[in-house]
Amino acid sequence: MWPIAFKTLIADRGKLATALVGVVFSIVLVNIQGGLFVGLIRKASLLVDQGLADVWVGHKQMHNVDFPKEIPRQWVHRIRGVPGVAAAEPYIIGFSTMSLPSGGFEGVVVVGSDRASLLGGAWNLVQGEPDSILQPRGIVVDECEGHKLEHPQLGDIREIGGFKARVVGLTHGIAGFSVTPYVFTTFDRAVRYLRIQRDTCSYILVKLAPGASRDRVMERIRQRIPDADTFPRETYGMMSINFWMTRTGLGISFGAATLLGLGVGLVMVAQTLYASVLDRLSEFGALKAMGAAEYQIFSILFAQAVSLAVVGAMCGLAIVSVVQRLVHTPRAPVAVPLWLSLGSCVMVMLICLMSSLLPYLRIRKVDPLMVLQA
Amino acid sequence: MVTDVPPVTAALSGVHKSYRRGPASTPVLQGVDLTLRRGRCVFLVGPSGSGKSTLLAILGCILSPDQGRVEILGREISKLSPPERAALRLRHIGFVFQRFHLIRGLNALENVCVPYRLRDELNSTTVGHAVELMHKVGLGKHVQDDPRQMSSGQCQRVALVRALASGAEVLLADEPTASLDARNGQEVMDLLRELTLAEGKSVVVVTHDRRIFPYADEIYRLDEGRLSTSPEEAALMQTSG
Repeated sequence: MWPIAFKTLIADRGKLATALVGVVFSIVLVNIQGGLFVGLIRKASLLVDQGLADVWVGHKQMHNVDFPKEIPRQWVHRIRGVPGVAAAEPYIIGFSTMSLPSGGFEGVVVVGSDRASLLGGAWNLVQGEPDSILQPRGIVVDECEGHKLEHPQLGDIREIGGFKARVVGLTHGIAGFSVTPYVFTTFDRAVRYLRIQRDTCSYILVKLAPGASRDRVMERIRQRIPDADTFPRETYGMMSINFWMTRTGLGISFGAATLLGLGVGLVMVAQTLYASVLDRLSEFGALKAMGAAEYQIFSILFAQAVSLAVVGAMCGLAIVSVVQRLVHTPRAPVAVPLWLSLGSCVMVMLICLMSSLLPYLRIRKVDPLMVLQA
Repeated sequence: MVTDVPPVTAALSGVHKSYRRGPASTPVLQGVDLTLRRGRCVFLVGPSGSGKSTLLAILGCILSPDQGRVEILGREISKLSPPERAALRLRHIGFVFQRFHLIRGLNALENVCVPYRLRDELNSTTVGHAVELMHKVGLGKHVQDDPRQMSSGQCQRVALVRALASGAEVLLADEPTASLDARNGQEVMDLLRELTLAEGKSVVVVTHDRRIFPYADEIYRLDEGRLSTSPEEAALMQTSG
């Protein structure tokens, strides 16, 4: 019955276009909305994901990478002694303010990493060298935050927490979930900018020795430092994401918009298939009179629904790809992971199949006698 | 002396059918007896609302009688489930509808092949047979045409070939010439007679068109749900026959 389904579907070009618009609309909305959401929420774990540490050690109540609690820096030595640990370095994150050329101030998140390893330091440098940060007063900022920091250039002098800082590098695309720009520097300098005790830090970043069991190393760290919490990189990244998800209701608002898109798609496809069936009631009546079985009638609608879903999804994903290129920026990244694209296609397929049920119920009521009545 | 009587394909005896509208029940068929034989063409005539379409629907296993017995090709239809009746229609009964009811989007040949597709018998042999029939009815040059671009006469011929191509033994035609002019109507009836009766099919034609009465072997008048032979129509049939 598939050829009949295809050809009758194509014959009603206007209705076909309407239904395809519905499917494409759903796919584009779900992927762009979802992509914006994923792109935005991934920023919440940016430092963890890019920090290259295998394990994050922090305060017992650590729940978000951007809001750490202070821990004793000497834990570093106890952790370095744990078998399986290749490196353990202090890492500090805290809020401060940066002076602006116009005379104003802008809040910044100062990120300080160990000057020897630069573990957790800046990445994606577009100006300056990775070790430039070792220069006196060196800081690295992101060019995408230029409008907030009044477009810092290499060599510019600013003040952070009342101490001079010099821009020695610019990165591209390091923008956190909060609206506060990151400023990368060395641990010692960060301590000064943040005006905190040198014997404290926010986290201890751990690199494992090759072949070491992460679970066992974490367990040993917990045994040695019962006041510390340890998490694998992926887990702490997800915790940071969940923090914003649960505290802001972001997931609900994006999810509601996405569901709305799916709902609109459902209505458009259902309405189109239903209208098409109403137009063709006598043809379905004739098929029934000729002896078509129920499953054959349904298979026509099924094939039409599947065709709409497949063609609409392909067109939709092509549009998503174009839109993604056009609107993606580091500040508003559109990250469309494969699972989102595949998931939206599956959802649209289910929606199209659900949409075919309504017209099918209408066809079930068609009495083949109608074709014998003038 | 032995007379060759063609075998029976359908037999109705004492068939009653009523339609219920609200609390009232309107009788449509009242004790109809009818026998269809192979190679015979039976015409049903009568005023609108006399029950012709209902009788055709019962012969086509679309409706069941309230009372009476209906046997199609030896099978008592009241004992068949709806899917079994649909299967019986698909295998043994062909319809020619007054309004053709060709499927939009399919070309002429694809429309003709719909019964094959429903029977899962679409292959080069059956398509070849369909094309051959289309050539026979003068549609050889229109095999790939869109029925929406064809004349009423051509569409009715497509519908006729669709009913014939499936190899149905009982052919039910509902006002097959109603949408056609005299010439086209005559051509369609010529074809119907030639193609069906030569293959020993039973044909039932519901019609108001007196011009085609000469094509009938028997004419029955249905009036107020009762079937009778009509001397007037019989005279028309014999005059031209």
